[in-house]
Amino acid sequence: MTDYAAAPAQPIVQGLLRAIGTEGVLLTFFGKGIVLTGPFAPLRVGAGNYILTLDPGLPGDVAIDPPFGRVLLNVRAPEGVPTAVISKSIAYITSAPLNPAQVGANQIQIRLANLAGVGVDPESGLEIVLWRGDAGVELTTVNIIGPLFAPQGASVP
Amino acid sequence: MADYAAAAVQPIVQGLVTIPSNTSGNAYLFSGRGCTPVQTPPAARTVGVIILTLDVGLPGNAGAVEPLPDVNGVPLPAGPLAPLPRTLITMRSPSAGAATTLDSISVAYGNFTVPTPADGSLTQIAITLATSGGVLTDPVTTTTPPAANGFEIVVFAGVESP
Repeated sequence: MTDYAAAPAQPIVQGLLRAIGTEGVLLTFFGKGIVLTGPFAPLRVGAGNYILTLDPGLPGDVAIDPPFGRVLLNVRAPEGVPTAVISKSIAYITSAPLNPAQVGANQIQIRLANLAGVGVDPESGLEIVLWRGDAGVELTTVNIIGPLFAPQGASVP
Repeated sequence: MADYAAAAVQPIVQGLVTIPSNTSGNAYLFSGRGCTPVQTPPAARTVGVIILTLDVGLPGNAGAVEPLPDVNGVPLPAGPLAPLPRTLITMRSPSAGAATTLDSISVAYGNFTVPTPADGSLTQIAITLATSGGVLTDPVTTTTPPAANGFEIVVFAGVESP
């Protein structure tokens, strides 16, 4: 297959999030890229409010600089049943012991809400994919174009 | 470019779904790759519910997605249904600069209009579209107000959890 990729984005998280139980208090994640157990296991703060911690054991997944994050959030619901989830958003956060300026964001917080802005859980689940985008030129792979010793300065576009 | 990919996801479906007649309830068309091109809607199909059938014969697609997680070759009954697909749906505006009214978007995986294969695999994707008020609506521009002008879809196949 021809490779036309012009905008690099690499998946570092993909999975299915479910709030299960009669009161939807148990949050489960099936997939890859998120810590599943221990003190940083998926946390349901409230209805439609979840905190997930990136898996530090995976390359590129320890933490992410927020400008690089690209995320897909997709609600699952029974066929023919309109989902109540109207608002979907994400925030990139840093867990308390860490310094955002040094490590970036090692957690994501997802908010789902209905038309009134009230948090709601997805009916069947929430699909997540998080890509690490390329927010700028990576200096280690930049192509050198033109004379190697071109003049540098404000006058050079 | 450094390879940071830690969670493999590969597209098995990508395309555009429209209703060529631009009339709510009429036949819809999938143009792209990974689903049966022309969908014949079942009799009296539900408005706002688009059912796509995966295309048999494509690598990584093969016309079905796994119904349950697989643990060493044995399905895990307690696992989530259809654990692997991740779907991206983006509405196309009814016209340039106009907002879509379809804010309630969800998917389900199953065998909705076809028999379930012997191996239990899931061969169809149902996309449910509705307004923010929960009214099922097709992505056409002839509704009042205009709803949408079709939608883009990409289905990625994830991999099993380690």
